[in-house]
Amino acid sequence: MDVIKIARRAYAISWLSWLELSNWTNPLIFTIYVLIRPLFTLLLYAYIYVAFAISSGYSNPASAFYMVTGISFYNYIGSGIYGVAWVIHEEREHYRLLKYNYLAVPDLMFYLTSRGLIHYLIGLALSLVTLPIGLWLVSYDLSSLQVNLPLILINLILGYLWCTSLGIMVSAISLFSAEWGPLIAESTGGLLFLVGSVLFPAQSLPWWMQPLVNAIPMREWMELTRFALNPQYPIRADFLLQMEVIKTSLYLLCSFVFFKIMDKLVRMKGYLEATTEH
Amino acid sequence: MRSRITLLLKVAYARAYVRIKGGNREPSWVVWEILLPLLAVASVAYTYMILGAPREYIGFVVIGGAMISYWFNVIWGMGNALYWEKETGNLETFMITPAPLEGLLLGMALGGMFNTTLRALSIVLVGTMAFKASFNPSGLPAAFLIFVLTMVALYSLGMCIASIFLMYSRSGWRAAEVLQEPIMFLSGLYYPISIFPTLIQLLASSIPLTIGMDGIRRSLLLGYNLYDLRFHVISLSVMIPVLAYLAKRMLRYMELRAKVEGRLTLRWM
Repeated sequence: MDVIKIARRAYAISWLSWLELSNWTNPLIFTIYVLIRPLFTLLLYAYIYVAFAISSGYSNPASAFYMVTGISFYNYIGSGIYGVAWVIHEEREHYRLLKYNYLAVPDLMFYLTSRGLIHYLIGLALSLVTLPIGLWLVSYDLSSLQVNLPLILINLILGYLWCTSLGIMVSAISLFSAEWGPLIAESTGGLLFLVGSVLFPAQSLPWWMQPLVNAIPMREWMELTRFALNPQYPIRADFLLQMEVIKTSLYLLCSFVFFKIMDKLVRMKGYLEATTEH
Repeated sequence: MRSRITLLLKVAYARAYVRIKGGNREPSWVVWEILLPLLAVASVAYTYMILGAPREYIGFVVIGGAMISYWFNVIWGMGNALYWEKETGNLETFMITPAPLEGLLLGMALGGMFNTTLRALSIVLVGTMAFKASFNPSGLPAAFLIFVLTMVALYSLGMCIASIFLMYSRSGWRAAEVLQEPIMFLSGLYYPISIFPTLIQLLASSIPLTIGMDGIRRSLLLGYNLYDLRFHVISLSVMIPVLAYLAKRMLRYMELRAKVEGRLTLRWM
């Protein structure tokens, strides 16, 4: 395996991703554009806590910590899944590039994995920017944070792996539908937000949603991130980490098999270049 | 003058027809468009329930979830529509026909409003059943009047945004993205804007959606009558002609600039 060749390919694809994302404007406007949405999302959800605190008359630092860490670190996963799952629709419908990229980089799965990289990096940067702002906004004592850097790094890598695998499975489905592509991509992000213990513990969801909660490693990822920021956060970290590793491995395997099958099928049926002109 | 109005209405009808027909031709798509906003509504409703917030907050969330779909329709279905027409090559065809752009946008607005109303009503219905939100039926007439005024003001604002897409393409697309979360926050999507600092309240009050959403909530959740909501009615009534005039001017200006700079047929930029 030629690692240098793979790394150069990944770099070239990430660079394309970066240019597509940013070359419509100058760096200052791009920075503002990138920051505005997560900052206002943070305000939107942090004010839920503020509204609650005002209406009830008392504060709940544990809830504040839970919500702000959830919203902040959702940027990493949300941006990443968007970066991977949106590619098929964008390349096929918007820029009509999919067929050329397919010829240039015959391994579409590798292409999708690399296209997502830059989105994860931006998502991580946004998480790190929004976290202190959010905690300050809900008057949480920042000095009580004790960051467990190794755990954060392991969790970020695991997050990249399972989320990209999920994105690849979603992309494999959207290969078959030009019309449903954006909806599939958007709803995957929305689903992760709902069942991933972002704003509230996923255990509070109805029983019929629990299989879905357990099938996606988002809850483990989110809880471990909170634990990595605050060791007082009451979870069984070892157990959750084991669960996340097992689920991530399963996701990697499933996404590989599923994508290969779908890739073959889509070419057989001749859907690869299907557009809707919608 | 009369023939111009007839032409405008004919164009509006034709565009609205396509939008309604196209938007509802695939039933599974409609279901999806209802379920997608419900994911966000469910997330916030559960959060309020777990925090133990007052019951009326659930009603706030359901109404907010339904109303914000109009904003998304304004920026993506109307503002952004000209970008899509440009990308697919339809815009140049529109421009060489005698069809007025205002008629085209009016059609998009009416068609989009109809489609979004179907989805918004479904969101209210499902949200009410799933989260047991309760509303005050006596507030319906006042809520309806405020709703209509809000829609006219909001879609006039949409015409202003659409004019930007005549001139800009990819950067306009990004601008539309940036208009989502700030408006969601400033309009008080999930809570009353009275919890904001005064300066933010003032800024938020310049957005028709904020006034409309607040008025509808007050009537349907707190039982306010039309007299109690007179300031909402006046504010929206003032906004409508201002935004409509602004939309017309901006559309002309952007069209002219786009023609001069040769941007009407420019794609992927």
